[in-house]
This record gives sequence, structure tokens and C-alpha cells, in this order.
Amino acid sequence: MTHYYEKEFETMPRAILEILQLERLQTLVGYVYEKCNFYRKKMDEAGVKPADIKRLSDLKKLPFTTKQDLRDNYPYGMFSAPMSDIVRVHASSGTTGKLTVAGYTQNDIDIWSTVMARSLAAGGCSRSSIINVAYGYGLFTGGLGAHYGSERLGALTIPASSGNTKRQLQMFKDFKVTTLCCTPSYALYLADEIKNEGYDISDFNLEQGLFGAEPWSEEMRQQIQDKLKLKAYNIYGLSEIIGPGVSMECEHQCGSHIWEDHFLPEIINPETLEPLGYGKQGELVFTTISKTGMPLIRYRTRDLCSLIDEPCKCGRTHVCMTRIIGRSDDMLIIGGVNVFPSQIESALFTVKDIEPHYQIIVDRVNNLDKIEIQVEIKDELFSDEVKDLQNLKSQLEKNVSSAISISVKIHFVSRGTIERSQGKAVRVIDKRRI
Amino acid sequence: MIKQISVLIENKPGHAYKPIKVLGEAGVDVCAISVGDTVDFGILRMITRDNENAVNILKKAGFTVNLADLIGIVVEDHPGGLANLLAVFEKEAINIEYFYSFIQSKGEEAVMFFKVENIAPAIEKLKKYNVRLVEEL
Repeated sequence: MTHYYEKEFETMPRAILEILQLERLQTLVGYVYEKCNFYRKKMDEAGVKPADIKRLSDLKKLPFTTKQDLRDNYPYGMFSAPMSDIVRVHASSGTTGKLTVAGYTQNDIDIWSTVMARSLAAGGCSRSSIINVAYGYGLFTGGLGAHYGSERLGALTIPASSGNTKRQLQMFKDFKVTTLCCTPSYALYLADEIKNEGYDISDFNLEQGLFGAEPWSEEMRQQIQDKLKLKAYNIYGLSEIIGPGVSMECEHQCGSHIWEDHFLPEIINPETLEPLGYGKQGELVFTTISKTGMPLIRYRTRDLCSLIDEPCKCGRTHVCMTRIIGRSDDMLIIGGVNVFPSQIESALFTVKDIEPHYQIIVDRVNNLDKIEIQVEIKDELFSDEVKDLQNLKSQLEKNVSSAISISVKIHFVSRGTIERSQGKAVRVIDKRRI
Repeated sequence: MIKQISVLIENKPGHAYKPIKVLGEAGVDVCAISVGDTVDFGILRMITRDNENAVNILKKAGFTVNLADLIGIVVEDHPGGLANLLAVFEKEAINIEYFYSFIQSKGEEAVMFFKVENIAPAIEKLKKYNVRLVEEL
């Protein structure tokens, strides 16, 4: 049986959905032009006025918004609502050590709770579900996003947050958890710890899991389903747009439905910026048409995927997106955390005399992402004493770990070990088989 | 004071061999050697008869190289010989970072090399005793 949270919106005929989208887009463009200096300036430069948006296809007349714009207007410059109406901020890490900030009005929190409730329902959850939210709670949108959606749906919500595997498994059993929300790699890690902690899968009542915040594959889905004996769903979102719940798979798992009455998707060629049609692979771009705190117009997500233009058997009319197959920038997602190689680089260079030759090696060991950084060290930093090198190593590890909020291992290598390239240096080797 | 050359090596097969091999090929005689090791890296420490040449060769071959000053001391090669010497270090509170010996000892005595915390005052202290310092190899 297909579960809906807002059937009327989720199954709205396309023709009516598009009228709603246009109405919301026009209102939004007028609103940001009036309220946000950034958008007014950008639209004036592009020679577009709110009145030029006459049909949905006029969306492409509007300029793009990028992560750089968010950084340049840090922290509050992208907000359209007055500060007194902003009730919450979330943030993810940016490239330069500055956070990428997202601001929410009460209206936005309500929309987020609603799209997340829809997402949980699409994954088969209902008021009688017992939902363990094992995404991190905090500036990261995963924990609180899933939490508010679960409460909105009326399910029993367990704010477990991430970590403490022993306690998570104990709650699975004692609280009769039906639904797990976490990163797919943590789900696999939990699955592998079941035996070690003295449980058997028959001790649990898991029915489904909503996994996201990092790229994963069909093979990983199979593994999670086999080990945890639940149905694994892919959920997608990003804090700039709203957080988890931008799109979600239904029981047919033929892509993730984008909640199009709130988020208008486009696919563009990341080089030429030309919009691409359905079925073409490119960069995913979103326009939020109902948020009021920090609406984004044509925000370039840098995530690569395509849109599927086929009606889904579930009855939902909202377009589906494929899995994310890569990025059009160099951002890494490690254990659900966004990491830019430039953050690691600037943290390394806080130590005087460090060589510019380094390589970041990402791997997945026992389903947990690990980062090792190979660093060549100059004669000036090299010492004949083990303790000096160990101090240097722990200092570098501390600097990098605190810059990216993930623990890293530094590995010293001899000069010339890291391959010198003619053009752009190969800074990252990602060995994860996802 | 004796100059020591150190080379960074990784904790992998063949990593101690490479620097020794290039020195051998260039005809540099390595007369003492020791390794400081950790889980993921090592420090190969050597004393050669031609340090200037050795440093150039190693740097050219791409190794990370460091030069340090050690104290060379003749130690009598019989039971208690080293103990007598270390008793002096203890009495004078000279902190030893590490020490090792010549590859080949001739007859009744050996040469040992000591890395200490503050070399100049340590040498002054040792001179008060019947300690035979080695200035050159």
C-alpha cells in the first residue's frame, strides 16, 4: 500500500502543479527582488525584472546562485526575511574555513517538516512507526531535519544522534525501532556490529531505513538490506536548499521524487551552463519557491545526476532524479561531512616549512570512511629524533582534524614520492568503492 | 663531535635498502648505522667517512636528509665498560636521546655514538672524566 502524507500535493496533476509552481515562482522572484540586495543587484545586472517571469520556462532568464555567493555574503547576506523572522540557522563546512550558512523562518521549518514527513511516508512510515534518528544533531541538517519530519508525521521519534553504536543497537531491540535514519555507511557499520555486541538480527523489528547525506550505490543497498533485514531507501537533500527531504524514493525505487511544489529542479551542463532536457546527465540546480528565510534562485548544487520523465506507479506526479553519480567540483563527502581539499591544504600550511606536495587518500575501512594525508617533508622539518617527527605529525593531525571536523592520519613520505603532475596536481585519491 | 646523517624512510619493504644502495654505488663507506622506528615511519641514521659527499648523493636521489651532531666515545669492550660510561652520564644528568655503536669494533675497544639533549655543555661535563672522545673517524 502506498503511504502519502499530503496526497493532494504529492499526486497533483502536472498541469495544476505547474500552475502552482509558476504562481509560487513569480511571488518568490518579486519577494527576493524587493527584500534581498544580493538578488536585486544580480537581477539588475542581468537585466531581468520580476515581471519578466511570465511562464515557467522564463526561469532560465534568472542568474545562477553559487556556494561562492553564500560565502561572499557570509553570514546573513543571503537572507531575504528580516532577521527578527529567522528562527534557526544550520551550516555546513565551506572551502575556506567559513561555514556555509542557511537561515530558516518558522514557515521554512514547517515546509521542511512537511517534506520530510512526506519522505518518511514515501518510505512506508506512518504514525505507528518508531523512528531512530541516527544522523548527527547540530549544525548538520540531518538530525534535526529527520527529527522534525518524524514528529510531524506523528511517529515515535528517538533523537539518538550519531555514534555510540552499543546504545543504538540496544535501543533497536528494547524500543522496538522500526525505522533507521542515518548515513548508508553507518548503517553498514551498525549491521556489522550486531554480532559483536551479542545480538541477532531476529532481535530487531526494523522495517525500513532512510539513508542519505553521502553518495552510495545499488550494491550498498543490497548489502544493507541483506544485513539489516529492512528496505533501504535513498533520501537526498542539502542544507542550502532546506536539508534532507528535498527528494525521496518511493516503494518502487525508480529514482527519488523531488517535492516539486517547493523545489524547482533543472539540469544544466556545468561547463556551458545551458539547461539540459530530461534524461540528460548534468549538474542539478534548484530554485526554492516557497521558502522565505533564505530562498535560493537557480542554486548550483554541483551534484551530477539526471531527471527521469516517466510517470511513477506510486501515483506521485513529482519528477524523479537518479542517484548522484559525482560532483562538478572537488568536494568530498566523508562520513556525511562535506570536505574540500583546500580546507585540508590551508590547515597543513599553518605549519611553517611544510612542503606543498601532499596527497589526500580516502578509503572505506569496515564501512567507515578514513582519510590519510601523505605529506612530503622538507629537510628543514626533518629530524633525527622520533619524538620531533611524532610531535610534528600530531600537530598536523590536530590542525587538519579540527579544520574539517573529521579525524585524519598524517603519513610522512620521502621527497619525490608524490607524483608531480604537469597540470593540475592530483590531490585526492578516493579508493572507496561505493 | 661527529656528524650523523639521517634519512626519512617509510615503514615498507625496501625503504632501508634504497639509501644504503645509492651510497654504496657512489663508494661512500657507511661505518655506523641505526634505525629509529614508529608504526608508520622510520629514521635511518648513519655515520659515514665522507659526509659532504653522502649528503649530496642522498639529496640528489630525492631523500629527505638531516644532519645532526653526536658525541663519539671510545668504550672498553669488556663487561661493565658501557656501564662505567653511562654512570658518568647519569651523574652529570646528561639526557641521552639515543645511542648506537660502530659496525666494526677492533680488539679491546668499541666506538659508541651518543645523541644528547644539549651537546656542547655535555661535552664540557664529560671532559672532566677519563672519557676518550672521538673527534674524527
